[in-house]
Amino acid sequence: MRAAWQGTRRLARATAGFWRTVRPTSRRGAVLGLVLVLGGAGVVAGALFVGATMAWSPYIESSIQPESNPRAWAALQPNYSLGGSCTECHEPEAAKAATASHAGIGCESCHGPLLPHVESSRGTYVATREIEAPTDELCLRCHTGAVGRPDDLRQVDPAEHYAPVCLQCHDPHTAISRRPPEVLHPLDNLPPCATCHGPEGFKARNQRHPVVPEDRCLDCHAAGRGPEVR
Amino acid sequence: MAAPSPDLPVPAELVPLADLAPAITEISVSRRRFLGFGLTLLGGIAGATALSRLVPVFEDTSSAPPPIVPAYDPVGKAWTFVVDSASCIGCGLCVVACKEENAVTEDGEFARTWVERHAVADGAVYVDSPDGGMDGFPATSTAPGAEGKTIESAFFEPRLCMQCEDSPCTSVCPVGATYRTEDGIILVDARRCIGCGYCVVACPYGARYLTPAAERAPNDTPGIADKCTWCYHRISRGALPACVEVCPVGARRFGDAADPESDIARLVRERSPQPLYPEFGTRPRVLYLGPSVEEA
Repeated sequence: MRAAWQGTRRLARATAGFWRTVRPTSRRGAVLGLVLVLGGAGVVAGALFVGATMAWSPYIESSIQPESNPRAWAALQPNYSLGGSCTECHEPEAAKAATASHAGIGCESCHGPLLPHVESSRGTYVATREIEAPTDELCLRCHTGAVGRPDDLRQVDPAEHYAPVCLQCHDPHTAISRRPPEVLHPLDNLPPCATCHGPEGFKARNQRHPVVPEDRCLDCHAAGRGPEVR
Repeated sequence: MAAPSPDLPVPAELVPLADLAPAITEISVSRRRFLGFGLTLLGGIAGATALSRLVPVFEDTSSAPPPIVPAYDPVGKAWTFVVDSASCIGCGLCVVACKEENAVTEDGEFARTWVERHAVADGAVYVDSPDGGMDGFPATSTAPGAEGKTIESAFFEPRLCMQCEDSPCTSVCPVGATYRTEDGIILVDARRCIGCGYCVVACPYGARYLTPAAERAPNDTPGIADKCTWCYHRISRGALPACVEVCPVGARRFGDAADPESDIARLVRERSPQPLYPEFGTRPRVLYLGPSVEEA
């Protein structure tokens, strides 16, 4: 404490001595000195301001670090997985899907972006996300008949095709669809199907069966008929 | 601090240690003080460090993020995009995927990639792209003048940024906000872009737009120019662009043609895809197969 006090006093003495040597002795000298000091401070402040602005400016930054913006673009977070992630866990499903006519189509084409699911569930056996079954709207994006689509693509006219829910009859992950019941009795010399099979009894048992013109029952129910993916 | 005592002998040659004893004692006191001072300083620095961990005042938020893929070397990449308009079925999944991947606004007016239908009806060609094709295509063309006309033949043409080698967009930008990376991808720096729209007008392929003032604007800045980046964040991680990833019919192919054995290099070699509208003179880098270039 005492040493500090002594030091302060010595500093004060030295400052006073310095002031005596530089003290302006005329009015002109005083004005000149003031202008010099204030001007110097202004120049320093201006330089600091310009420097800070330049360092903050993206135009200056990009000329100093041209790779900064490409890097920022590269750092964006993807939403779709980066390829091959699905089979890490869903091996059996992938093997099954590889035999279907949809083979070669990426999982996320229908199931949507799933990288968050991949990242949060890698290494665990817990489902981190319910994957919704795609809707008919998705199926019909590709399978609605349209001019300009290749002939080997399965195309339907949604107005003509009996389709309550696509997935009720068609399984997109296998080559074989769930077939409708086949007619096992002989078909010769019989009245129309609805004579025995409804419509009342038919409707009671098949709440979700679409309304079909009577002459089209055998489109699906004859032996060897019905929806097939391939 | 204390001045040496005046009775201390001036050491002409060697001074006996005992003669220096008073001075040594005095120095020893200041050494203790010195050590104390040092300890205080050390403690202060340690405390400040600990505090700065809690309160991130010294964190530099303006610096660029570290490279995601340290092994990624943009030099020597020959990214190549090939579009097969003969395969495209116009399902629009690529448009949807692009919007999902890049947070492009859901408004159909704005798209980084879109699908056009070139339809022949009544002997005339009608080109339409309702909402960029994001919801697929209706049975009749939505182009003006095509109402009620039956389409006789048609093909679908996926479109995106051509990443031209002589790019007018980078030439006209007055602030240098759009530029070409070392691997040939043209990007937009949202911080430098002033939204003047010159590049939107300059692009002969119509690949650019100004982002609407929406919540999900790319790059988080409404009003700036935006366009397809060939999913720069995906290709620099070694993945495919999102549109290529989801295309169910393989109409979009992507790869590094620098490797002559890669699928994309073989495709280019064997089927020699052509750029769209080469007469624009911009040397576009997306190459097309199928009716898009066969009819021209």
